[in-house]
Amino acid sequence: MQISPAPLLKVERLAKNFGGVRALNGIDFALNEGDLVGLIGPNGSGKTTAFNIVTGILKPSEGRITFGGADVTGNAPETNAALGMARTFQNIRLFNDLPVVDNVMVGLHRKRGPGFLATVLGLRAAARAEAEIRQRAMAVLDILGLSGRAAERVGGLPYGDQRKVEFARALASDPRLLLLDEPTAGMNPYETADLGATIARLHRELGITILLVEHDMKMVMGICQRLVVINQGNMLAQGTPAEIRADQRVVEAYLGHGRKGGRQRGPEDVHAVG
Amino acid sequence: MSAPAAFLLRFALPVGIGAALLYAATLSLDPYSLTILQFVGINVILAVSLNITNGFTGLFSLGHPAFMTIGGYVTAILTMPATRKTAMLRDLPSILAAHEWPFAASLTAGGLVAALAAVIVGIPVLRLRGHYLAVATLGLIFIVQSFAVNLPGITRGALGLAGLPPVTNVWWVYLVLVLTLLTCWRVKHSSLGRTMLAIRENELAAASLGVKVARTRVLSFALGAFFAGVAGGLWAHLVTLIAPGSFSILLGFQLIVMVVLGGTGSIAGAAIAAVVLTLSTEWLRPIEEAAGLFGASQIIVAVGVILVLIFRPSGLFGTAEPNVFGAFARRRRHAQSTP
Ligand SMILES: Nc1ncnc2c1ncn2[C@@H]1O[C@H](COP(=O)(O)OP(=O)(O)OP(=O)(O)O)[C@@H](O)[C@H]1O
Ligand SMILES: [Mg+2]
Repeated sequence: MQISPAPLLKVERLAKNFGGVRALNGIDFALNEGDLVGLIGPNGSGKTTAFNIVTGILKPSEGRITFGGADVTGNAPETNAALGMARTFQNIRLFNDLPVVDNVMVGLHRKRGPGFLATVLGLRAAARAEAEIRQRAMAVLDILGLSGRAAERVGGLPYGDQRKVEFARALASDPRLLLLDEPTAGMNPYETADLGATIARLHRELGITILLVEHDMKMVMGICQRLVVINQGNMLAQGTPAEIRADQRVVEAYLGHGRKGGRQRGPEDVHAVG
Repeated sequence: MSAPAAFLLRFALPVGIGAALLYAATLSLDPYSLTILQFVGINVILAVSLNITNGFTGLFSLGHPAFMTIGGYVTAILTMPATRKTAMLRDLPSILAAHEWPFAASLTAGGLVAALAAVIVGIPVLRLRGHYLAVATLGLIFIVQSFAVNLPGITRGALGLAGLPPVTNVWWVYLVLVLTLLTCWRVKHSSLGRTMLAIRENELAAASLGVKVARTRVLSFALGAFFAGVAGGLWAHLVTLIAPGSFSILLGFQLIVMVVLGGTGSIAGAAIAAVVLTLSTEWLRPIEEAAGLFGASQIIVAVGVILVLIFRPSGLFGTAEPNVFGAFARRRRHAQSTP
């Protein structure tokens, strides 16, 4: 693995207020090129907010984000996408009326899409680019076992498959950093394990840098090299899965939150991973 | 299917048949029916082009009357004989006053100026949020009208420009119509069109995938405005008159109705709705006059819209194209995905 002098993504003292609510209160973490890092924490701890700020959907109240050595704090999502960030959404955001494959193809327009004039004049180059985009999208759908449903309207797919389409869509653009926000939410244990294996395989084979938010402790601990734990907007711990599992504060944070969230995993899950 | 064969079947053949039918129409129809035929064509151009903005990209523009007014005036001023220009339009810059432009060039210029106006309005408005566009375009209609009234040295003010050369005919209308349909079809079934639909479906996700949301919206708004400008020029030279009030907000709403009825995003749907609505209003008019029920046709249309919105909220065709047309797109896509 290539050792880069500076981290690919660096988040420093990140804070976010929503009116009176302090959703993030000084978060620090960094990802090196090729890392697979889990971002975990009880419900409402600010994981999605952190994703939204890193990708540019929300502006931070305080703090700094560097990506590939450049300051990207407060960038627009379009700009960050162009720099190589791709993400999935916890509350699925697909282009419901479009076929599955077209959802994936949208993400390829930025790099490979023909321009306005080539499109309107019907130039051969435009048709070629379009065919390449379709081919690439199909290849990515194939990785996730979805090529059989490529022509279906994505809004009609079962929940688990919709999550996979989101994943495929993010993956298709060859991102430098892939941010996955609960990619297995709503999946059964088999599907979850399966997708976890796919994430690990893509990370291993393609060397993509991945930041993963996930409530399934078994999966996160099984595939991530390092975990960042936040709680109520504060940094709680950082370390290898083994270190996190042994960390008393983490166990307490999960205990303290009880089991109100339906999918909230308790500390026994943390320990369940042998 | 080989490329030339596909071209013959998909483009040359329908255009050839259409041209033959048009020729037959010019020989057999009376002048009144020929005029209606041209209004039908112009309305199809308007509905299909508004569908780029409102249907593909999911914006809500009411601005077509404004762009038609701009295009109509620009075309009219350019085509006017030089002697009339110098006599009637004293504030016109001399480069424009000295020459009489050919119709095709004037129409193109009308479209381009309308598109430029759309860019100027679109950049500040579309950068924020799409839904301010309805208000902004509503305002634009009145701004354009007041410019037309208050620049008598260029537009002859409230009098308007009358006695324009009657150069619009079925051939011009249907040539522009074919070009409009072709452009819209290509945009919709392209990578660019897909980003427009993506913005309509989920703006945030589109932006996160690197789609330049503001720029794409401005492009789709300006593209719609271009064809509206050209249509305004055709209209002006069909009725041989353009005045500040030629294209009202009411027309803007009628076009919206066509897009909504046809299916937001469906090219064929918008075209069919435009044909049906134009013809039915025309045919209902003598009936309502005979019965003394003025405005009845408007009520019938309004009830029809409400019924469609209740039973088919996404319009008759949704975003899809009817099967005859869809089959071509599917076959083409299939051919592309199996290299
Ligand atoms: N747009 C918003 N306006 C106001 N408060 C918000 C907003 N978004 C998030 N919050 C609050 O910020 C806190 C963090 O929310 P966030 O969604 O980031 O948590 P999370 O860690 O992703 O939780 P979960 O595991 O349930 O997805 C919560 O208290 C939430 O209510
Ligand atoms: Mg979340």
